[in-house]
Amino acid sequence: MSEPLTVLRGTLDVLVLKALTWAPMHGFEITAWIEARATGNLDIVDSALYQSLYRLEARRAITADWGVTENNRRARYYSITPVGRAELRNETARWNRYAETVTTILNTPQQA
Amino acid sequence: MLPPRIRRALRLPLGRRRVEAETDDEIRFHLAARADALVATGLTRTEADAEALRRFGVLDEVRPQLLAAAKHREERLTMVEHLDALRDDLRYALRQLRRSPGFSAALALTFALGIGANATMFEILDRLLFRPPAFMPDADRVGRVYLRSPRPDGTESIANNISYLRYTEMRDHTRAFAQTAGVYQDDQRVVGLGEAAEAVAVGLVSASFWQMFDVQPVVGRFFTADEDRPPTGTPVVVLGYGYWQSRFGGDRRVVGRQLRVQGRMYTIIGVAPKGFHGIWAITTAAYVPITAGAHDMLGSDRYHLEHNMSWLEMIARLKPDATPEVATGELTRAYRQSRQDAAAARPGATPMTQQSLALTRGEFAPLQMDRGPKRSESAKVATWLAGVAGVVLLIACANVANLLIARGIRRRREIAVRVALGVGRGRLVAQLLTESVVVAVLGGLLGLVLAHWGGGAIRRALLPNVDWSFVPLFDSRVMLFTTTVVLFTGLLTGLAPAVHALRADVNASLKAGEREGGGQRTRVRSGLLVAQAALSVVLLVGAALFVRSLHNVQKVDLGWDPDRLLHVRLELRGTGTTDEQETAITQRALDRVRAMPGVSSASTLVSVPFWMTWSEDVFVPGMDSSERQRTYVMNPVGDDYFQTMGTRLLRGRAVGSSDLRDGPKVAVISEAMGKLLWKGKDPIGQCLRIGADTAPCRQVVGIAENMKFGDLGDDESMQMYVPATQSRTTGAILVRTPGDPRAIAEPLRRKVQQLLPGLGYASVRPLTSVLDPVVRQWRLGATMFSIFGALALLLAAVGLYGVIAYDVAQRMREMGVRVALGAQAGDIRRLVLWQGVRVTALGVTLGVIVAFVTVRYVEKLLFDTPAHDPLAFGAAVGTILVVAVLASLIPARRATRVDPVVALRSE
Repeated sequence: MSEPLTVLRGTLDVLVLKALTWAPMHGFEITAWIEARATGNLDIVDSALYQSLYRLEARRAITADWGVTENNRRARYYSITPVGRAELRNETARWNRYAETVTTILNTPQQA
Repeated sequence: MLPPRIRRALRLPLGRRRVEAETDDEIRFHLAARADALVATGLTRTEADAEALRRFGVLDEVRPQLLAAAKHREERLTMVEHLDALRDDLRYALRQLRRSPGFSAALALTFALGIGANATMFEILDRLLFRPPAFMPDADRVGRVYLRSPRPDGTESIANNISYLRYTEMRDHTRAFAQTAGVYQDDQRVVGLGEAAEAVAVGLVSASFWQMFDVQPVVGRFFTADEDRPPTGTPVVVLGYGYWQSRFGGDRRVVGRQLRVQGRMYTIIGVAPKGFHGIWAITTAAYVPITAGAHDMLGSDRYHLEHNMSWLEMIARLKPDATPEVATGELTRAYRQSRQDAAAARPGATPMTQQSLALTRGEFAPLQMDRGPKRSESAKVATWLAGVAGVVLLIACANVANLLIARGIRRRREIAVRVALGVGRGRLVAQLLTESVVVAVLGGLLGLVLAHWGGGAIRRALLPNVDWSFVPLFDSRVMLFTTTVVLFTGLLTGLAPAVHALRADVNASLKAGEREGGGQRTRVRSGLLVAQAALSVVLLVGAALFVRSLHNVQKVDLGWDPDRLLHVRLELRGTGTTDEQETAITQRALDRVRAMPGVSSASTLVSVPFWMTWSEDVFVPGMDSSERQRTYVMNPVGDDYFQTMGTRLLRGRAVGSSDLRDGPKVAVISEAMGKLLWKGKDPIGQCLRIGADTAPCRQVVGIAENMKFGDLGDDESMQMYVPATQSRTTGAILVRTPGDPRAIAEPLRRKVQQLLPGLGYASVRPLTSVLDPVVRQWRLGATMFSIFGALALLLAAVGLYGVIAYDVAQRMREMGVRVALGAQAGDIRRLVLWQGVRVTALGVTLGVIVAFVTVRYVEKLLFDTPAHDPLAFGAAVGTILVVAVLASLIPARRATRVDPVVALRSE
């Protein structure tokens, strides 16, 4: 297995939004959700996640509220807003276009 | 679990400490959750804790970053919430207003009248009192110099006009000033040659004047101290921007060309920039060095060495460390020294007494004349009118508040529903305030337009000499003022309905029917009505007093007839004509004028009431000192003078061309003068010496009626008329016309102009124009108080009607019961009428008391009218009571038409 990739700042925001489309989650659940799907390919510093969460909350892409976990612990739950859903749609489209373009170029067969 | 958004909406914004605590909680929770997960994969608790910490980042570094981010997040969210609330309120308010457009228009219009009145008055007061001259930096450090001295009769003379010599003395013997300038504006100076000659405003300013401004010429240069040396100065001229544009088409090659200004040719050296008006509000066509202008105007080469001509004004800028008090002290010292020196220099003169020396003082006062010791009466009236405009606005506020409350009651259930749904009372109040502010903003916009278009007439009436053409529609100072007024008005007006809504009992409101009104509710509204009625009475009393004053002014017997009179002045200075030639030219002009169609009679005169006074000492045996100190107006006149002037000759004969230069000296005197000097004896045939007690004896040959000469009230001046043939000057030509004199003014001027040599210039002026400023304050007071009073009355009437009509609608059931129980239409009508009259009567009583106390402050501004004039008070009270009855009559009639069956069944 190769070295984990560093996650770009903007990219983390999109990942968080994607995670929250599943259900409202607290911070660690989001981390766990992303890690589970990255299968060790992404290296995320946990504090960066919170930076991302606060940023998203400030621009009202997500909202937060205190709730209680299954273990009866107080945790801050985040959920996605319509603003967040719209942002996710746009960013996903942009990402796909970007990735496709780069992929196409990189996969151009070598000239003989 | 409630959606987080709603829970957030119910929570207060987080405090700084709570944000930190919550963020720490969140970090702690995360670390614990991560460690738990790691333990589940087989790590020991210690290892798991360490790994969780490592994955989080260096805590000492990232924690402050997270705290900062969290704080920023809370600030953003709080702001956004406020904006959201405001947007919701605005949307709600606009929806409410759109729902009843007629009602909303009435509200906005009410505000527009009140705000428009205030914007107009502000603009005027701002010009008079506050606005600094354009291009003048730190204008509050610049002031005007006044000189106070005792007059022989014991009164105090306050002069802003001083001699050139005194100006240089005050300039050189004071140290408090960083800059000083001598200025004078001649609003009728002849500029241009031949057909292009016209009388325009010319500024005579010292070279230092330009340094008081932060200003550069658009073309050429301003004049220098070298060009401004007495006695003749250098004939150079700086054009005003407007004059340059209109007469020279903005030609930049104008510099170096010659321009005639009064009696000399001047070289154009530059053009002042657009918007520059010096220290004057009226447009100045050209600026010349004060020494050059003085030389032309005074016709003397010694004006800078003598004190006898007081004409220029001194303005000065304080040094950074000087105060107005210090400047006043220095001016006083310099002025006293100057007066003592002047007294000592006079041969055989006695030194000034200590007493009169003590009363001789200088004063450094604000640049605006109307903030200094010589405030004009019109400015005082304007200040009062600004207060009156404020009262009109208060009445408008009361009115709108009343209407909003009325609607608030109708919306009672809707509001109760909102409260029951959990809308906070704070939000509710914010909504109601937003609504009234939105109405106020609409009214303010409309008011500004009203002030701009409708206020023009008022502005011109109040300050006729000011050039208003450069006033923009949205002047920044007026905008600032209006915005403040709008916010104040909106909040003040919203207050009453908001308090009302807060007090509303939700339960009762939800249960009650549409029609049921609370008796409590009307108390606030009645209070507002009482206030409106009271304020209206005060304004109406003011209006009545000024109308009475104006009426009395117009009734005054002037002793001459100002209507249909033209004054034709021949300007021959600089033409090199002798007195004899001038007399001959005047005589030729007089002959021509007499032959013109549209002239009923013409004569010559020198002294003109309220305008030009030539006074002389008079000597008669047995005169006491008080008689000697009277003003005796000398007036050399031609044939037909009395007939032309409209002054009756009571006895004896007139004087005229038949009295030859070398013949017996004769005079006609006014009736009062004869009574004063010869006490009961017949003045005709008596001997009068004019100018000196050695002058030849002048025989009184006629008695003319008294004339109001310088004061509409108790005019103390005495008039004497001598034949022009026996005087060294002939003066000007006076023309009486059968119709409007303005119609023949221009043809007459051209006809006379043809007779004049080279630089000569004829100016024609209707004599009503000299009387207009004298009567202005009463005309203004009467007009404006009446307009504002009528406005107040209208608003109060609408308010009263609104409340009574609403109340009647509310009490339909009660009326129905009354009718069912046998009440007659008359009883019902009386009941409703009485309600309106009672509220009004209470307001009237209050208003009369307020008016009674306040009128004594305007007493000085009235003419021949006692401040407590019963007629004025009676008229005001009567008017408002009649209006109150009329306003209640319509609802009263509606009440009598109630059908008991319908009314009782309606709920």
